[in-house]
Amino acid sequence: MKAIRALYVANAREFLRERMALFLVLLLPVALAVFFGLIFSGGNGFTLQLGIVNEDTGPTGAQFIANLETPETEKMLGLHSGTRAEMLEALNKEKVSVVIVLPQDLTAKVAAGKPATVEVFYDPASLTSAGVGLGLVRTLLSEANLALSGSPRLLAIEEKSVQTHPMRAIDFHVAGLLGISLLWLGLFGTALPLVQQREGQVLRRLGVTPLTPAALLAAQVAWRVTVGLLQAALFLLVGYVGFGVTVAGNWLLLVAAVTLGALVFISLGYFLAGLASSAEGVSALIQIANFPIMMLSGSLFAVEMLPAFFKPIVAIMPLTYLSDALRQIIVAAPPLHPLWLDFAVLGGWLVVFLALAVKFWRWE
Amino acid sequence: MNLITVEVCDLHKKYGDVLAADGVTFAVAAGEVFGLLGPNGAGKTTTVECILGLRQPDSGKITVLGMEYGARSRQIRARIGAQLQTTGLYHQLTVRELVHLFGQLFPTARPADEVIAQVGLQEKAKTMSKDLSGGQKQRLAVALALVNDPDLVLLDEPTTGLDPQARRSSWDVVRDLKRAGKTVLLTTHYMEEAEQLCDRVAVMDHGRIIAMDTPQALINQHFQETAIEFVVLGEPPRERLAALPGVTQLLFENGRPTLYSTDVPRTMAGLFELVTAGTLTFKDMAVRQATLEDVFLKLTGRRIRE
Repeated sequence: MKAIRALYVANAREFLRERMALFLVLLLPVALAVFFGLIFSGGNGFTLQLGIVNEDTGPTGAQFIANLETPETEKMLGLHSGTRAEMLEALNKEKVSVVIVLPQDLTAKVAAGKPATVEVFYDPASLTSAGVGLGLVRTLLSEANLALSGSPRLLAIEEKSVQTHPMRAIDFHVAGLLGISLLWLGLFGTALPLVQQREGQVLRRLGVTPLTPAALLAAQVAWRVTVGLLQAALFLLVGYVGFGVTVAGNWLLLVAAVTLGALVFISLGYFLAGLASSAEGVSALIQIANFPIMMLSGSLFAVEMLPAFFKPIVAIMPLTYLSDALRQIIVAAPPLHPLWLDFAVLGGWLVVFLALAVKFWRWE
Repeated sequence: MNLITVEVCDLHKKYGDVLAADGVTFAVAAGEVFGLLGPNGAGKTTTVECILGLRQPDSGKITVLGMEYGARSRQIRARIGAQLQTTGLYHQLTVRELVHLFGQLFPTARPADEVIAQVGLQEKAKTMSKDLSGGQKQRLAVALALVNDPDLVLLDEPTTGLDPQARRSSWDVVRDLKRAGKTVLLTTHYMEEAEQLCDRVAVMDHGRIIAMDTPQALINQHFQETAIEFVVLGEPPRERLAALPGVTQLLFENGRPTLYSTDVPRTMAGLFELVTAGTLTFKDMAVRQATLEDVFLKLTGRRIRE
């Protein structure tokens, strides 16, 4: 036990004195969250500039627009209306982030009980505001959908969620970047130092003491989980002080999600360290793993922005589920998946990465 | 109490086609300072790594402190201290932090500052290991080998890369260990070190032990003679030198002759006759007792450090 504690302290000192690791794992993600939060929110909460083209000749389109102009949505939505050409021009000039087009046959189709197609335009270049905007539009449309199909009970639930937690850019990013920083903890904060220690023969030297591999592992993993929780605390602190983000959900669930996420990516780090034979090799592996896991996860921008053929990959990436869980817990975002499913998929990945890590592990 | 601390019996270890250990057999008695002497690649480090349980021998039996590796590995490791030839350390920890850390890995440990003082690193106690010089790192590695107050200390080339002064203080550390009744197994390619420190020496070459005894016995066994060295200007008259009175052996190394003589005055007289006759011109003459270096040269035809 004292060996584990001593190694835990040694790991902590090494980490805290290694400026690069400190920067990559702790400071950079927080700085990114602040940066995205500032540039996309203008400091004063996120307002979606929504362009509406009403081509409907009947009353349903007008009713839909009237429903948008309520006191609750006023702060979140800047409504612009005009012809299709005008609104697409506005989208081009970034005066609006998303344009919805209500079709000509909307009234007729709704009256006939048939589905009408509402077109949604957005500019993928402005990833974040469109990403947050799409989420909002999705919510608005599903509300309208429920209203039109006459399902008031469900509508009430949706309304409440939008009301208490209007999704701002910083809300979106605090959770997403926390997920990414846990990924980096596993890649830059685990795989790289492990290979460096192996190359520097630290592990070999520890091998001629009575230390057991299990104790060494316990100390290393315990320290890194601590870092993961520190990251979460830092994110929430910066989010709260800078942007008034508060934790909507259960703190215990949050700790559980952060711990599970950290364990998943730490195991991935151990696996990559076992796979690589040199520090250069592991750096390359980290880059290869980092990019798709980070990009195809809905952490930086909404999953809807991606081309369809990426969707199956997004659907298996562990970070997809971690970011979704964190978003649900921290800012009560509309769920992509039920929370239990997020936890289950992360648990599954943990088992897979652990098995691979054990299979490929080597001391020298 | 075991009288034999380390027993290595018919150790074989092969890396690819290279036989790093080819039937190594020896025993180290409790309280003894035992040296493995040989050039780089002789198999010294492989032997030490097998004794440490870092490597699995292809065949042969190793007993340390009366135990064998396997189920009792941790018990063995609790009682030995090791300084590896290349020691990896946490770069961002200070000397004191590292010594303390390693102490915590053992059931019992000596105070960190006491161990640091023993190897003469007091002034560097707060220096991070990455900022130490090569010699200081070497001494830190020795400190880490002593922190658990081990019964057996293994030192793999403890003084390689040290300046002469640091080397002598390392020798003092080994002498202190011997005084304290510890068993020390060290490897070196410095003849002088082996002669100065070791109660017994095993001379290794190409994975085999080619001679084993006390340094003095090894020298006496191979040389009753005195060595006369000099540098010949021009072509040395080999036959004439070998035929000088009292000369039992003539060895050439890089064109430099070493005469081994049982009768130095008569050999010298013969040498000066050659000079007077004009068949020999030389300079830088030295007359010395035979050393382990001479033993190695005689046994292998090579000097130990090339």
